[in-house]
Amino acid sequence: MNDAGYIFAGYFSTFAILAGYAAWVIRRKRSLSRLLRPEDGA
Amino acid sequence: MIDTRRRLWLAGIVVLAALGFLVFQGLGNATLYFRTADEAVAQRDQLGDRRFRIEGDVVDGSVRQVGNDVSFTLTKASVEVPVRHKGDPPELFRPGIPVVLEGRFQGDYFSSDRILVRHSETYVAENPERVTTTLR
Amino acid sequence: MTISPSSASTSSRTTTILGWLTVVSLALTAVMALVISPADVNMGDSVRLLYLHVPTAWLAMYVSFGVTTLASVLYLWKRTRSRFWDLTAGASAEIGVLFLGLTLLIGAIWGRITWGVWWTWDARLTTTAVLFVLYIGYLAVRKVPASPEVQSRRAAIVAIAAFLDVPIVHFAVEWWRTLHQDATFLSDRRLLDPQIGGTMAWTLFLGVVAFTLLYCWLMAHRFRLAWLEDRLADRAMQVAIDERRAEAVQS
Repeated sequence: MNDAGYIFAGYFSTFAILAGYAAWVIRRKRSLSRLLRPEDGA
Repeated sequence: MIDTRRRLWLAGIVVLAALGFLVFQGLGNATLYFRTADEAVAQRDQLGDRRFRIEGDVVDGSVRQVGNDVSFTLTKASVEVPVRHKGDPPELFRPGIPVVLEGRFQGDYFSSDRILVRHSETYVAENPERVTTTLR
Repeated sequence: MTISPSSASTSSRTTTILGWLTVVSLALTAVMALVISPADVNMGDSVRLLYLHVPTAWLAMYVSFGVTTLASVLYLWKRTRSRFWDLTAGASAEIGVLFLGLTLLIGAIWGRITWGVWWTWDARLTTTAVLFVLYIGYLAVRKVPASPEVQSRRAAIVAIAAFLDVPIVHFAVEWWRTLHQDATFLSDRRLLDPQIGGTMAWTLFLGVVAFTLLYCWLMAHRFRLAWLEDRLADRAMQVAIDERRAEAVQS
């Protein structure tokens, strides 16, 4: 494959950035719902 | 509160400055990204030795290596412009394809220092036998 | 809008299934794009970046920012005004900025390979950069402190204004001369007659499906996060009010 370095770097960084964002959203969501839980009584 | 507000003002100014810069770039550059080869020849006198972008197709069989430079002929609407390019052409450069060159007229030829290979919106498999269906 | 506050886990069964579908379809897209699909006759292997560049661009511009605009209109319209639409608009815009950032990143790499430059100031690239900055501005406007109603209304107006750039980006390749190629599918000339080989077209289609699933999954979680943030802010406000009231009673 020509330019394999550029192409793989593109795919790798895209998936890494997406995974990073997803992980951030889920982590923050979990910590916030833990904060809210006591009063919401769920 | 005051601090947040000040920071937000600062952020707003940064965003506006970025937008202003982009619009300025756009007005100056993007609306006339290139002149076609025939237009450039027609405007030869006005252009003088100003720097601009020229677009056209690389004439088949015109590409020659001259020392460290490459010379070839650019064509558009049956107007031909001889080109001399400093340095190596990009990987995807080949006869017959449309290119955009950056440079200026110098004597009777166009002196280019950057070749941008244009690409059309069509995609064709390199090894057609591997493709069994076409989307039509 | 009633959402049950929280079960022990923050994901529902639907979002879990959606998540797995997303992962599988993204993996399939990568395999199709990098292994099975052919190289292009002019662009060589660099055409493989098409399968990230186009799906992220479509999902950012037409879906994410489209949803943000629609939700903002529904917020401004009195009969449908609700926090739900405001939070939806914000969540969708953030995902749109993420996707558009990826479009620009992949585009730069693709440009480096095919054109020979990472960036150039042609109309398509410039208007896209403007779009990116506009929506970052929108996300910043959402954070400017004010009463919740003022904050949401202000954001909705900015969102609608920002969307005006989307058709400009779309038509940039037709209105002006650009280095960027024209639309392969989304133009009146090409819609019924796209010039793209079968395997390439199917790979691209799969990529669009995968990123659509990803958008839905991210939306489900990002919306829920926005909703939790909202609840927390409400509670902080309530605590502050109670404290003031207690002080007033004492004095």
